[in-house]
Amino acid sequence: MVAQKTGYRWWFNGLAGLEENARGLAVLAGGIDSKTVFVRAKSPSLGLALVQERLAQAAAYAVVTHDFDPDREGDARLLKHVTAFDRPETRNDAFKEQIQALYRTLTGVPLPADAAEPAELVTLWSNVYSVSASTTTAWTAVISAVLRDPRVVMY
Amino acid sequence: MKDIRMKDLRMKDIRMKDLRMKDHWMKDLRMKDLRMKDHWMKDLRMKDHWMKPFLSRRQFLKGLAAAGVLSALPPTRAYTSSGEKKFLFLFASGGWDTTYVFEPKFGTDGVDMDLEASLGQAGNIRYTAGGRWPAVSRYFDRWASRTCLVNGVNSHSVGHDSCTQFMLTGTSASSTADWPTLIAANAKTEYALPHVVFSGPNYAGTSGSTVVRGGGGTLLDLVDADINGQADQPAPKLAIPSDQMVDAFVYERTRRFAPHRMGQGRAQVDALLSALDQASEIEGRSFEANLSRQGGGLLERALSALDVMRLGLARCAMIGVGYSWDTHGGNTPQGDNFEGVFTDLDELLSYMATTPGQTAPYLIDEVVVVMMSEMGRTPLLNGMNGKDHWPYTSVLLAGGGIKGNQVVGATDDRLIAVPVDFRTGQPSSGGSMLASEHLGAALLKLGGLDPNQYLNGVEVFDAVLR
Repeated sequence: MVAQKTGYRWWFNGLAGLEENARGLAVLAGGIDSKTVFVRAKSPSLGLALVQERLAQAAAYAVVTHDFDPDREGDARLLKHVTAFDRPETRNDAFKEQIQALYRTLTGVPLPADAAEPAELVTLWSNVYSVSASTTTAWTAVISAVLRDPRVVMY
Repeated sequence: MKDIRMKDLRMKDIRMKDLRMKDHWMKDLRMKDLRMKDHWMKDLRMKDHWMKPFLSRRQFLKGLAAAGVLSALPPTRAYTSSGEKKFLFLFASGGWDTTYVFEPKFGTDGVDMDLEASLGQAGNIRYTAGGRWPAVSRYFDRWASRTCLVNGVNSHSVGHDSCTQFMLTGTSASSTADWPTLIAANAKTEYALPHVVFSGPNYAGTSGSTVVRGGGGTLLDLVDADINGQADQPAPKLAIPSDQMVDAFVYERTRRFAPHRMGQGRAQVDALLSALDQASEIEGRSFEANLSRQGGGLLERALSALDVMRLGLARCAMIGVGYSWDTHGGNTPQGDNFEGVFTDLDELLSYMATTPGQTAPYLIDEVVVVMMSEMGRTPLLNGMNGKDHWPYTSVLLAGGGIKGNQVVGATDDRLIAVPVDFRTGQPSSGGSMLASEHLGAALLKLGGLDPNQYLNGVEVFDAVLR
């Protein structure tokens, strides 16, 4: 699902990180290896939380660097309403529209009109930008936060 | 300053490996070295504590809440132990030859002993000593009083996989969790890493969420975000403040999501919240827990395991001890293997005896070391001077709650188990045959569980318990 929506594949040495278990990621995320773990975990665990966190960060970074690349081929994957030069102080509506679009695409469910998330994620963007001075990092933080939304994890 | 200290510590690890090659007279120096290492680590942790850029995530989340950034705090769960025993399992995959340490069977035609073997004794423990494995004698000279050897344990099979499963679960049912998983899953205290599998076998049963795999490798890579630098399409780490800001947002978003779910869905969200909280805990304390300890050997992994236990982050750990134990084609490597294992075990017990525990004065009173192999080896050499699979094996127990200075369970002069009195552990014609499930029941009991709930009607091998 993450690969389809972000275009990012979490592969290691040519192998899908979550489809084979060479690194143990599949079992950490709650899967089985059919050798010593035969039953899927039925509830979220620490391993799942950590796998989700790191996968979300990697996928978010891939999206941002792709979408903000001036020489990219094809359309932006997710960041279609903002550019690398936009700031919330000058284009707040565009930021909120972008965040609405992120939720719609990544969770499949649009946020209600009065949802708090757009404003909160704009605040997150500003907070991260204030310590990183990087729009890439700020948008990576925002997209990874949406990818870790409970509706995505519980999907 | 920090980097220099880390380099020092890595050098320390290298020096420790060198030290292990030294002779017996270096023993005291190793002890001092370990104490110094621990002292440096504490110093380093203190340094980390006052160097505020290294705020723990929990501190950071609280700081955000105090600043009004968050509308609510994550639950302040106290990751402290309730005094329950913790368990460090060491597993020698392949099947060790019990005659090298556990079963000194001299003067019988029914058992081939190593030509360099001799009888050793420390306290009440009679063991097999040998010129090629002097670390075994050193170990028992120092730790016999805290050690219990269990002989003649029936592992019910001669196949590696089935024996492993029997030794760790007492059954061949694939859905049954192993002893450490059961003990961790039924802890009175909530642990961030209930059962850490650094290496070696694990049967999670239906308690998959209890088990955290890859303690020294993949888990660490996830905790410190190195995993994304290893991906085919790599991504940089989010710097600590940004990473913590995202974590705080995700936690708060999930907390607000919870009331919208009912029944099983609510339970799932609550489990996710708990997992996010645990992730923050372990990410914030990964340095303190020294999870980045260099090296993947038995001692390094075991010390990491003890550190996460000492900090109340884990209750159980499993570590494969390494070495090639399946010696069909030549049996002499067994002695070298035991030399390596007991060298590390000696240092491990030294660390436990000198490192303050969380609920006991020292870790040696709080942590139970359980070292086993899935099977033994035949009493006689085969045509290649090797030994083949044998269903009776031995187990070493040491530390908290274990009745030390004794050998319990027994085999005859052909290495076949004999009945023993489960109260005393000594041979008795009216006794019972000891098997993996009886020993497992004792471990569950020591872990505060009711063995009957998991092993219906199985007698507890009480002889090992203090």
